[in-house]
Order: sequence, then C-alpha cells, then structure tokens
Amino acid sequence: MHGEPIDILQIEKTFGDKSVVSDVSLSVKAGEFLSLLGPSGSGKTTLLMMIAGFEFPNAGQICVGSRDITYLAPNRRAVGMVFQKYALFPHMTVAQNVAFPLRMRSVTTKDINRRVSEMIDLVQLTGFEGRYPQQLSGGQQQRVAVARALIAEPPVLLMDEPLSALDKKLRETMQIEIKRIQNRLGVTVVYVTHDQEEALTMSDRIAVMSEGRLVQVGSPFDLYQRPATSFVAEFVGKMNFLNGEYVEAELGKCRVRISEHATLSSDLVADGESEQYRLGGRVRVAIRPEDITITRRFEFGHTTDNVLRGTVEAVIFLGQAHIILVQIEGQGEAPVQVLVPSSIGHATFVQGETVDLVIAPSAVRLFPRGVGSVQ
Amino acid sequence: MTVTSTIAAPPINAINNRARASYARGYSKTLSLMLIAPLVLLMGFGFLYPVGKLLIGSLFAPEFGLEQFRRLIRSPLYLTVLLRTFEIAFAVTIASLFIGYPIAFAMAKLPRRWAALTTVCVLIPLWTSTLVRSYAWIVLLQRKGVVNELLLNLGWITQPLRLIYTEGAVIMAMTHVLLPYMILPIFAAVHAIPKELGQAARNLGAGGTSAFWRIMLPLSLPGVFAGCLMTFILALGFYVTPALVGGPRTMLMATLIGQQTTETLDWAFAGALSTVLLAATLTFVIAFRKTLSLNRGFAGVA
Repeated sequence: MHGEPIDILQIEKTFGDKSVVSDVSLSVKAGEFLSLLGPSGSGKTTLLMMIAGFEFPNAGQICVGSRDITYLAPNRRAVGMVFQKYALFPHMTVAQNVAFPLRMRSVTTKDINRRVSEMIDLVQLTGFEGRYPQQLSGGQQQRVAVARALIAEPPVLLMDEPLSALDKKLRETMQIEIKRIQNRLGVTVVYVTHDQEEALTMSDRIAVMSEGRLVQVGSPFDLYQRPATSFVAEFVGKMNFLNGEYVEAELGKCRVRISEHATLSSDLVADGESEQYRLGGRVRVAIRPEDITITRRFEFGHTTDNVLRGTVEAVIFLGQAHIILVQIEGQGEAPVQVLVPSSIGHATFVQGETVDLVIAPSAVRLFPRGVGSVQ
Repeated sequence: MTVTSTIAAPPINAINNRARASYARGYSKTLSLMLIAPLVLLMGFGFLYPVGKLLIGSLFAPEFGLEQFRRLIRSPLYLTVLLRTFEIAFAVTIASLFIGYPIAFAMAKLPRRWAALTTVCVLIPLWTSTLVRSYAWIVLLQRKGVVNELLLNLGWITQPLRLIYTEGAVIMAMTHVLLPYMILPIFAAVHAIPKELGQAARNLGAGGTSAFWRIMLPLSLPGVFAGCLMTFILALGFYVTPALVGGPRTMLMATLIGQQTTETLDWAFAGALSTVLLAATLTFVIAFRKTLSLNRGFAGVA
C-alpha cells in the first residue's frame, strides 16, 4: 500500500452566512502524518469532513493523487476514516465490521477471510473476531475502527480526534500504536486534534487552524521554536506572556521594557519584522517555561538587563520536574511559570521567596498586541 | 494564593462526587413503594379485579364448567370472527409498517424544519378523537360520499362503488388511526442511530442504498418490532373504528364482546370471548419476544 498526496486549494466553506473555513490551501505529502490542530470551532473538523465527502466546499478544490475528489460521493473517494466515537456497527461482530469495506467491493469470501485475519493480526486483536463492539474496551474498539478503515487499503486515512474518548495512559499507548501501523503501511494520515501534545508527539507536520484559517504549517519543532503568531505560541506547548513596551532596536536586538526595573532584549525578531513595532508601542512578550533560569536573589536595587524580579507564589510537583509560579514585580499579569528539573527544584525554592529570573535574548519572542491576539 | 487553592481542589471534588453518587444510586424502599402505590392500586382495582371477575364469571355460568367455551367452539361464527380479527390486525400492521417506515425515516433524517412539519402531521391525528376520525372515513367512503361523488363526476364509474362496510374500509381506517403507534417507535429507533454510522458506511464504500439495507434498517429493527407489536395488539382489541366503518359483515372480536355485554347482556359469554382474545394476544406477544431474544444480533442492539 502506498500513500498518496493530498492537495487542498483555496477551500471556502460557509454554513448559512457564517464562514467556517476560509481560504485554506494545504499540501500533504504522500505517506506524511499531518495533524490539523486547533481549538473547537476552528474549522478543522469541517475541513476533514470535506476531504471525506460529508460536506462540500463553496469554492476550492481537493485532490488526492491526481484525482479531483472535491464533489465525489463519499463511497467513491478511497479515503479511509476513523471517527471520534469509532462508529463501529453494533449489530456486527469485530470480523464483520472489519470485513464490511471488502464486502462493499465484491471481494471473494476467501480473500476477505485472509485479509481480515491479517488486518486483525496487525492491530493485535486476534481472538476477538467473534465479539460485538459493545463487548470491547475503548482501546480495542479503537483498534477495530483503525483496522476497518485501513482494510480496503485507502491511500489516505483521516482521523477525527480518535483518541479523545480514551484515558491518558491508553491514549499514549494508542499514539504509538497508530504511528506503528502508519509506518508499516505508508498511508497518508490527516489527523484532527485539539490536543497540542498529541499533535507534537505524532505528527511529521502540524497545520494550526484558528477561526477557519490556517495560521501556521510546520514541523512540530518549527511550531514550538518559531511560532508565527501569539495564537500559535499560546496554543502549542506552555508559554508565558508578559506585557511590554517596545523601547529600542540596536544591532539586530530589540529591547522591551517589562517594568520600571526590568527590560528584556530579544534577538528572535526577524529582519523587517521589527518595522511593525513602533517606539513606545505595546507588545506581548512570550517566553517558554523551560527557557527561564531561576536563582535566589542576593542583592537588591540595581537593574540588570534580561533579569526579572519576582516572588515565588507556589511550587507544583510534576514528577520529572517542578513548575514554580513567580509573580513578576510591576506586572499585573498571571504569574510566570518556570520549569525546573525535580532534583533541584523542590528543596531550593519556597513560597514567598524573592527570586531573579534570567532570560536569554534567544528565548524572548515578541508579538504585536493587536486585534485578534489572545488575551 | 489562588494557585494553592486550585491545587487543593480536585481531591475535594472527587470526594463530593463519590458521596453524591451513592445518594443517587436509589431511593429508599419506603419512598419507592409510595411512588408506585397509586399505579399499583389503580391496576388492582381498575383492571385486575373487574377483568378477573369477568374471566372467572365465564367459568361459573350456568354452573362451574367450560360450557361457555364449548358454545364458542361449537358455533363457526365465533371462530370466524376470531380468525378475521387476527387477519385484519395483521393486515393493518403490515400496511402501517409499509406506510409508516418511510415517514418515520423521513422524520428522523429531514432537515429540522421539514421534520417538525412531518411530526405535526403525524401527531395531530393522534390528538384527535378516534370517533371523529372514524366518522371522517364514513364521510369519505359512504355511498354518496366524497370519493364516490368524485369518481362519478369524473365519469370513471356509473354506479356508486360499495366502499364502506367492507373489510378494505376497516383496514384502511384502522391503519389511519393506528399509524402513529407504528411511526413513533420507529422514529425513536432511527433517531437514536448515531449519524456517524451512516457516514462510516458511506466512507467504507457503501452506496446510499446498501448503507440503508445493511446499517440503517437492521439498527432500526427494534423500533420496527416495537411498532408492529403495539399496532397489532391495539388492532386486535380495536372497537370504535370497525364498529362504525365495518358494519355487521365485518364484525371483529371487540365488537362481538361489546354486543354481548351491552345488547344481549350475556356477561358470561363475553367473559369467555375476552378470555380467548386475551390468551391469543398473550401467546402472540410471548412468541414474538421469544423469537427476538433468540436472535443474538438484535439482543445486542436492543
């Protein structure tokens, strides 16, 4: 089985006079695992439904391989799908469910039996062929849904939040399982999720959607390290936001005043990008929790560049690390989260302690504080 | 400080939930008894006692024995009526199923506005008195009724057709009256089938028709069985419509029993007839349920 590329061209979709997907163009490479990531109502499921053929776009084109499938009936698309609640047929056994797509394609009974048992073997459900879906656990139902979607060897597999009904532990097992099956079969996967952690773990590339538009498409690493907008910065991974005032730019560095005592400089501002900020303008400053170095404060008074002063509000134990919540002086914002590996964190900092947060210019991202930014 | 309280919150919630769950598990025995008491009393005094008295009465007239039942078997008239009752009930059930299933399916699948309109069309007759609806059929079907007038005026017939007081008229009118009892359970069953199952079938390669035959129809069968059973049982004991539309030559069990109690005042024989009808109905229901429960697939769905 070989995956085929998907080309989505300038798709528009409105329900009534409400625009749900606007001007989305996206290419998925053959065999790629692409996640559509976004909050609910961002249009990601609608986009998936249009690829599956349950909704039709008002404008634009969807191609799989070299075939234009934009207005094709869902049963003629050769696009497999795993539904959010699996949508297994309750009146059929596991084997009958998995065999369904082959029966629809008039495959001989002998071939059906062989392929069903191969597929059931691949998803590790041997011995469960005669069970009905309601006699299976959530994870097993999930495996049946995947097997059923893949048995007719579609070049493209769509998955609509397939793991959202499972508990965390099982979800992690299934993430690995789905990747294993995908690697084995080489099928192109479009995976809809609102869980950024899941998207980061599983995807070759992630397409972030917000309010019906594509905000950024890139590898998990790209999205995490170089978020294009403050929406992506906030949605993907943990991010601290501070309010700042743009002060100056010199030698490729931008300087932002956080409070009377503290300024931060950033060297993450791309060429030309700095022009959108004017002196004295308000900006949003974004810093990852793991990019902050926290130290106990020894001396008072003098202002240092790239150091924020604050007070420890709480220490949260996560297992492999601690999150330390620090209220920054002169900022009314929510406390800043600092990630500290467990071995040091616990003993060193206590609630109420005054601390310095040291932040390298390479970890400071700036975003305009304009319309549409997440508050 | 706010942060500390959020961290402490989850365990407290969990404890609260557990406590609430055990409260919700059940009412106390006394409360449960009090809640069902009115229904039990009504069943006892309003149904079991009088019906039981009627049934037992059939065994003691003139003295203890099966005399009334022998009389029933001796005369071919009564057996014919019993048989006809089952035939007509069966015909009405089948007719309701074929007319009702598409309507129920449409109600569940149409866009909301059209579905609402269809639902109103189904329910309004249900809210109208059976008597009124039966008279409406007389207006339509009688010798000088709307249908005959129309056909005569169109010149399609020269003599008025005999439409009323026929078995066909009874079946048609009863189907009309009982149709909602077929439609509503099927509608409920179709409505309860998740939309994704239909989509999944299409996605897996099924055309619209085979998605219906292989997925929607099998999954709506519990509703079909409930509807058929309800319609059949109601049709077996139906009184008003066959009495008005049917006339003497299409007499059914209910009409016969009515005659025995109100006209000939032969309560013992009415009791015997009722016993037979009740026994036949119960046998039918039990056999029906037994067949269904033997079928594993449907047991799983229902």
